[in-house]
Amino acid sequence: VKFGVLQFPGSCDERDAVLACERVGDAELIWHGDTKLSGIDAVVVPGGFSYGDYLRAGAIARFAPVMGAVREFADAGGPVLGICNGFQVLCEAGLLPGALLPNEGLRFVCRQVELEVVTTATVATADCEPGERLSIPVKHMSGRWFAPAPLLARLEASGQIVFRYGEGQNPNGSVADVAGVCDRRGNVVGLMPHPEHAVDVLTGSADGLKLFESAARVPA
Amino acid sequence: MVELEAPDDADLDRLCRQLLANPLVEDYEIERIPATSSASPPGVPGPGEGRAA
Repeated sequence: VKFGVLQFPGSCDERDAVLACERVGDAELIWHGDTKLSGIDAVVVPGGFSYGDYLRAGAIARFAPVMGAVREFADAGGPVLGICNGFQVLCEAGLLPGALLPNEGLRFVCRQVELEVVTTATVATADCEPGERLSIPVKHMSGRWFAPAPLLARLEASGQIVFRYGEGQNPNGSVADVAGVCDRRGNVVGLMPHPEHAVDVLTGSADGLKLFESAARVPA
Repeated sequence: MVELEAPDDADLDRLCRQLLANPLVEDYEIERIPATSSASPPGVPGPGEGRAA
C-alpha cells in the first residue's frame, strides 16, 4: 500500500506521518499545489498550521489545488485520514461533519489521552475492537469538535462517531467527548489526537499504529 | 470585522459563506458604506468603496 501525505505551507507533522505510514507500507509527500494523486492508495492530511491557520484553521487549505484530487479520491471510496489540522481541513472542506472551535480553556493543550474506539466500521479502525482504548497524544489550540444537537444525533445514529475521549479526559470541551468522526461511508476519518506520534513504545505508546494498519488493509 | 473594497458586491455573500465564515458555527452580515463625494483619510472607505462585515 502506498500512502500519500499532504504537505501545505505550515504543515509540521507530515514527516512523522510519513514515518508512521512507512511502518506499514510506502509513503510519499504530496505538495499542496499538486492536482493528482497518482499511484496513491491512502491519503493522510497531517497536522500543523496549514497556511498559518489564518482566518480559521483549515479555512484556506480547503481551497488548495490538491484538495480537489482528495475530494475525488474520497468520493471514489479511497481511504482518507485527517489528523488534527488535517481534521480541521476536512471539516472545512465539507468532507467531514462538524467544526473545530478553540479549546474551551482557550489554551493550547499537549498531553497523552485515552481514546475509546466507538466504531470499527471505518478505514481507520477496522483493526481495532469496539470499545478498545488507545493511548494517543493531543496537541492543539482549536480542537473542540462541535455539531448542533440535531446533527450530533444524526451522526450518533448513523455510526459516524469514531472516537471519544476517555471519561474525564476531554482536553478541549468537545461536545459529547467526540475526538473523531467519519463520513457516511467510513472511508474519510478525522481525529484531533495524533496517531503518528504513537507508533513506538519507546515514545510512550504504539497504539496509533493501528489506525495506519487499518488504512493499509483497505483495497486500493 | 473584515473591511474590503468591492467594486461589485455580487459575490460577497458567496465569499462570506465559503471562506470568511463557517456557517455551521458563525453568522455574518454585509454592511455597505455609502459612497462619499470627498476624498477620505487613510483607512476610511472612499468613493465607491464598500465594506463587508
